[in-house]
Amino acid sequence: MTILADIIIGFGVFFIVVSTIALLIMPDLYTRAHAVAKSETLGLLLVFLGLFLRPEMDASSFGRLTFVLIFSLIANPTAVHALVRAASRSGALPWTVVDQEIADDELDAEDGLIVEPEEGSR
Amino acid sequence: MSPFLVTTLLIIGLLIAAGLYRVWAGPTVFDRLVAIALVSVNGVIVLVILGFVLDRAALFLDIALAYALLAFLLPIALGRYFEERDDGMSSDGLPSPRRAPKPTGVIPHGLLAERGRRETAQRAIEARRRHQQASYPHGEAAPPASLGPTPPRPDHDPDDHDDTTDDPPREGGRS
Repeated sequence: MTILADIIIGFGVFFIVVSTIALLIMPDLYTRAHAVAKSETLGLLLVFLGLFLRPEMDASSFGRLTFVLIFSLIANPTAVHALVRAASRSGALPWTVVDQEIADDELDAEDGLIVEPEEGSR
Repeated sequence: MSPFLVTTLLIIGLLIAAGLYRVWAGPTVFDRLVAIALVSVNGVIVLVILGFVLDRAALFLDIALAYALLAFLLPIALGRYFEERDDGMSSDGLPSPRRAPKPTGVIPHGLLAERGRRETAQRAIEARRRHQQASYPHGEAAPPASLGPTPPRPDHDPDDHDDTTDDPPREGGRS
């Protein structure tokens, strides 16, 4: 039973790691919020389900952990959704193909493949 | 006190530090708030696992519950606040004006991005114009191409030359 609990907690930690990596490397707000809202919630669910199977679990902490689990499952996507709605209303633009092309051009310019005009000659 | 739970605790602590990097670096204020949401959920998990590691599960679960409640309210309230506040910092994905742009040899990213978006808008206008020329093939006066909503195509009655398709200018995104 402890082995099963550890496996489930390990999967949950995997999803939390994926979520944090996505938060670090994704290009714009919407993709980052996607990672935080979904992957993080799944990781939290798996970690708490694993903790239910641990031998340290007793009756007094069962109800509390259930309540924290249900509340977090509802609250985390709701909070991220409210944030992204606020950002969308205040005009945050998504990452598009044009941005990708501009980023590729900047990478080429760093490699010396494109000679950009100097600052001030525009 | 199982070593697996302690290892999990250390990993999630490192992830909190990684999320704090996004809080520090994220270009807009909403990036910071999303990162704060992730750090808060990681903090709840750390508190719960810490309770099981230290064998004080009931106490730490109460603390985690209070922290989860506060962490739920924080992004919603601050998101509402920064939605209403219009200082340009949170609008365009541009870097915060408090930090100077990095001195590179190329045109700064913000201007490039602005130019690219303008070209995208121009392409959209031309596509709309081509679509309208295809929709009005008989030399009727097509309404001016703009980025507004597509005007409804007039009826096919040939006597009804009603060219006054004066759509009101499109309102802003929010009311």
